[in-house]
Amino acid sequence: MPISNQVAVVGTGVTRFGELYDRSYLSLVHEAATAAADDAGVEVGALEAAWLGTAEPQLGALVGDSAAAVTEALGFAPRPVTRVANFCATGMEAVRAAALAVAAGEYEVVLAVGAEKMRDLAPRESLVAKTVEQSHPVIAKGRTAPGQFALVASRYLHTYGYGRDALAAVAVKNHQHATHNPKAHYRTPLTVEQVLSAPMAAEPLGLLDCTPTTDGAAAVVIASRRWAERNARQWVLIQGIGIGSYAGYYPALFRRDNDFLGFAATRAAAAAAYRQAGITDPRAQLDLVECHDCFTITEIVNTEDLGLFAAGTAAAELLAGTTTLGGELPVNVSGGLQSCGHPVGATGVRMVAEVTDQILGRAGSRQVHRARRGLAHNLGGPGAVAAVTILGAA
Amino acid sequence: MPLCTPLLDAEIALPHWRIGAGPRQIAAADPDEDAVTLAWAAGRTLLDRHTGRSVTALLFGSTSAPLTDGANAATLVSALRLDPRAVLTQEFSGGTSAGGAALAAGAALASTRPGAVLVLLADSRTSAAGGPLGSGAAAVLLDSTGDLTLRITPLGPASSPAIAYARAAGLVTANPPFTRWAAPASARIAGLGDLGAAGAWISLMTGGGQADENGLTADVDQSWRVAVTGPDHALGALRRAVPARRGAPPRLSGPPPTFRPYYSAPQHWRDGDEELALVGMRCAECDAPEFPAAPSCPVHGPAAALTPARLALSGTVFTRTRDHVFPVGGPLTMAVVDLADGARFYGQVVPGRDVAIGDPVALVLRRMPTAADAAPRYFYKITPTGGTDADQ
Repeated sequence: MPISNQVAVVGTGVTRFGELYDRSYLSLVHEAATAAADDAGVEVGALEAAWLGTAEPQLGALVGDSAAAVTEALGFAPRPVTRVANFCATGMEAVRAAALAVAAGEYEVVLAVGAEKMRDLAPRESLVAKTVEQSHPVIAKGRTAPGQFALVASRYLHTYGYGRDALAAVAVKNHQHATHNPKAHYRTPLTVEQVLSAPMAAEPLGLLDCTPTTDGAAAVVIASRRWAERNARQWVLIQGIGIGSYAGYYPALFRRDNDFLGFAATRAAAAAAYRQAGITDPRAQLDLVECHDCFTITEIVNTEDLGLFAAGTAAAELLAGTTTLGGELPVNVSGGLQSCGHPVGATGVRMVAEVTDQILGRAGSRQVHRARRGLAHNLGGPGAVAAVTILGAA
Repeated sequence: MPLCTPLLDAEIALPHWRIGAGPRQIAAADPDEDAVTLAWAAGRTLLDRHTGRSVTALLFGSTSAPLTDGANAATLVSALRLDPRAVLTQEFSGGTSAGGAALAAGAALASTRPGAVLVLLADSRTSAAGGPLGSGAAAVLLDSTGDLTLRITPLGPASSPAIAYARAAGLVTANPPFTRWAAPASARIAGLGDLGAAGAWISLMTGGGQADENGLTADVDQSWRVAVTGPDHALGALRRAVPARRGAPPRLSGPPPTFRPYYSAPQHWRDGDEELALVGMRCAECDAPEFPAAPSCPVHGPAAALTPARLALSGTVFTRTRDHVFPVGGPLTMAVVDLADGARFYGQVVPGRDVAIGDPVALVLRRMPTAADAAPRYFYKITPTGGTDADQ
């Protein structure tokens, strides 16, 4: 059965994002999942299956290596649980797996939860150590997460003639948005000067061009449209959900057709999701976008890859205010990864929850006026995978 | 009675940096260079002038070889894209006379064996106190078609290595200190320093030796005299000017004590030769190779006809960043390069140098970061080749 408009998001639950030293991985899974179930008005015991998105279980001492963590956190036994991982698109992959299972007709109402415990170790002992030490002994040695996106930033600025202030505008916009999001890791506004004068991470990206490393979890309850119509209080419909891939982990930075001005996997995922949703003019047909902004440049090129703006014009649209809350097409009104942080497995689920809450009109002071249809987008690895979800009012 | 053999061509390689001034100046290597990478640089330039010629032996002479079990020459065979199954290798060490011994053995081999003999002489020496003494390499191609003649004459018992040891100039340590050599210092070359096993040959090609009716000559460690004779134009073609450089090599932050990069002996055994030779793949339907090789063509899928392809070692910078996060040897410049054959390369720029988008660059063999007590691992880094030097 084609998925479009047959599967609903009927509940959302998001924990606070931040340095949650007092919280365990399992307690975050528990909080997000029970909040989503409460929101859906369904007992956890009525959920038929669960998908867990956790990208790097070793950052949390292997907890999350299997979705048995959901069983432990929720007393879910003996029901089926599955862990998925797809680089930084892990969270949306969990939503997609759950939605496809419902669309297939096997289940009526299931759980998708994403969680990541990134701060139990310092970044240098966890994520950086992973990149530096566990990576291939020689190929791409010296690659870091900011370094990989900095290659795109350098090429983008060089090709289109923008300066670092265009990048900084993403951080300023998203931090301003996050002042309205009580669950964001950072909720303090920034100035362009602060972003430009921050210590350099990987030229041209400074520290404030980068997402922090963050603990957090998010969950959504996914149900069939039939179940939603009978049982749900409020719901939105999944109009399209697509994943695209490109090259592979190391090859993504070596392949000849990589223009370093965007990500082919995003273009492929968007094409699939737009086809399912019947979207032909995304700029006109979408009311808001939550897209991957692990680094400031990522948001700029993603909004071009998603077809919202022509190549080379996203930075100009950003500087003109098009993507600011209140503008023509607000992008990352939650604060994005820039301000919410990026607990990897949780991020894609958080984005789906944000767009759901916006369409349901319950996003508080960051509510986008008359939001009827929105897009959530996750990017993984060096552009190796990307996921796009289109959500619309029922 | 001198040992004589036809000589086809020769080359030298000197590191980028110079420490000090005047005759006391020395050529100083980057922290990721060693005798193997310097020998590669000389050998690569030399072999590029003689593509298609069959090399049947590679002899390596050095007092600062990074490994002691013969793996240096094997590394060089793979990195110089020679056939490991067809090239006899031998290593010479133990003292600066290793340079003469390698040449003598090469001359003997060249006279008894078809194909060319490649003799690589390289050193990157430090004093017992750890200070650099000089770094450089020479590559000599011995082949029956050469119109020059190499003559190697022993200088007799009065100047044997034993005498030199008796006047020992102190302990010389290899870098890193896998081995320690109680060897005498070799003769200094003005402006370049003590170049060890490579010293005599670099002296011969840079004018430090004599040039008279006997051709170009130089003495090795008071134990051998090497001389090249032949037509004037061919002798002239061997002469090299020493490029003047300034500045000391960068001092890099070393790996943290806890640095334990992924290492797998099976992976090294399986992929090491192709990494050293920088072998990617070529799809029969595509117009350029791809690196790293994969089981399928990214465009034409798993049914595509794929063959191994050696990547070009020069190109232009497509994009770059200077990364302050990578905790070993940083800050590092990382760059993506459009290679001359259409393939792409992504990797580190050599220490202390920088590149901009559009700059011409070359790929050179360097050491990659390993754990402090682990054997060296070699791969390619990016170095600028344009006239304007974006040194930092």
